[in-house]
Amino acid sequence: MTLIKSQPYGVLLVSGLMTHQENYADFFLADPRCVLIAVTDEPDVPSRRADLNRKFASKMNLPYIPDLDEALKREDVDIVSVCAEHERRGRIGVKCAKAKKHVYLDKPMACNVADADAIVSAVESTGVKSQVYSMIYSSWAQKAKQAVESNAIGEIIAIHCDILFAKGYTSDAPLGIPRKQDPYPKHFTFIDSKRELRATGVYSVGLIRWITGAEVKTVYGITENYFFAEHLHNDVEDFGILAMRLENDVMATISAGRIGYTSHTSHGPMRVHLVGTKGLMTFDAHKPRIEVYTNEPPWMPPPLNPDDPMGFWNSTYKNSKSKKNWVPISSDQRHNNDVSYFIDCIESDRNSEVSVKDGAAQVEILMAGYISAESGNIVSLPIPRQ
Amino acid sequence: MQFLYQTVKEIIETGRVGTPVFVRFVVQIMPSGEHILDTLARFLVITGSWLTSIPIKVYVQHRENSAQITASVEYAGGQTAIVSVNIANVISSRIDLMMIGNKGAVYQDGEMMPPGFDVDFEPSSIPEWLMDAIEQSLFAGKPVSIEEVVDLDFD
Repeated sequence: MTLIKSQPYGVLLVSGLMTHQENYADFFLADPRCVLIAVTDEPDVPSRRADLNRKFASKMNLPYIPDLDEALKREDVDIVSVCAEHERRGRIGVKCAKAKKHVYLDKPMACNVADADAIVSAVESTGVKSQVYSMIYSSWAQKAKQAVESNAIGEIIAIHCDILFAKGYTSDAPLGIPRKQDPYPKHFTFIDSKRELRATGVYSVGLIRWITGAEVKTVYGITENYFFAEHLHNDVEDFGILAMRLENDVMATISAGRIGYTSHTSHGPMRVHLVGTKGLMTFDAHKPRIEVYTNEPPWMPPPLNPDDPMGFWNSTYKNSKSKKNWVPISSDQRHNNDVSYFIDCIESDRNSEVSVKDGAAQVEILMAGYISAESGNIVSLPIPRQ
Repeated sequence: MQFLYQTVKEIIETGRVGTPVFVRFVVQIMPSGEHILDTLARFLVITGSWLTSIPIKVYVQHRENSAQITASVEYAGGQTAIVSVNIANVISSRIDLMMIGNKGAVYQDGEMMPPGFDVDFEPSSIPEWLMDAIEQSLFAGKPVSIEEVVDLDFD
């Protein structure tokens, strides 16, 4: 059964500036099958968030509907793109699914397994389609998946993934202070820092599950503060590692974090190493590439934005030059329009390869990492629902 | 390997990357007769030398009948490392390295290594307690703190 509509899909945007909606809205806008309807949010959001939402609506030439419930009543809304702060994603995701709207969620999709489970339950009970943003549609990830499926590496034994963001001004934060990890963190939103094991590790965890097609059974995690005083001040990690065992006895490790603007020629190391019975294969987001060196002035980080000192959001880079020494060769490396794949899923009535069920599994693995980092022990999944 | 080790060491000593905080090794070597645990230990000694610290906790993962082993290590100064060694019948060995400092990073792309690159490197010595920790973590299937290993040795 296909569900191709005669008119474009109406897209409602929850939250605006200083969220990844800055990117996702452009993805939806670029797809001719979609039309943006409005920006909305919960009616009681702090005034700063409301201001940012209004500014975003104005920038996008869209109305701002200050009450999510009202916005969800609109019949011209088919899809909701949710980029609210992490702590609000659980209830908003549930609300959108219960309103029978397809949901596109920023990652990680929730702050705890209970919220993640609730979103899954709402999506499954209403039959709407869902997708959580990921890197699986990038060409390097697709090639890694093909290497497994085509048996090019033989039977998979291990997978190692490093995705780290070369962003933020590193500081002279003191090193060597033992980090005391909260096993059940509840606060995830700060202007100047993120819990980086979650924020960047979610990509690696998602890729590992998708490439191997296997569930994670155990997690061992370590979180640290290496680079930023801001993270240390907010008691959130700027770096973390996980060592996992998957259900087919595959070993998996990741490193994740934010390591500073000048730590990499491009956006940061992004690699998957697959170890199989036929040997090792590596897949790199920055390959194949052309390297260009000129007499142009060297790249400089964007001016420090007090509203976004770590460079989380696209708008911080709007007047800055991008790093241009490495130019990807494949055209499909330049645009990772995750959204188009989601629209394909809706039109063909099939589930996304990164549905909310997968997003919930990602959340559980990452939360298990925090529990492990606190105790120093291996944590078996599933973890307790709290 | 001696030259790679020394080059990275010299870069660290210039202070260009700040204080080293994390090392990621993904190593593939041809069978040489050396036991995979010894190879792993050698790379952990190299890692510790760059991090100028000693391990306090070691978690070793290995699947029976496979030539792949991975250690996740926590060091006394809060540094961390993940070292993976894979032994395979391949044409050439390769070493992928990412060494991150708090002010920069060093990358060695294994795919760029010339054929015949010498991966042999004999560190001054492999401490007995490190081998014990590796073996105990493998046997127990869980992380082992070096303190426990040392205590066991003396008990």
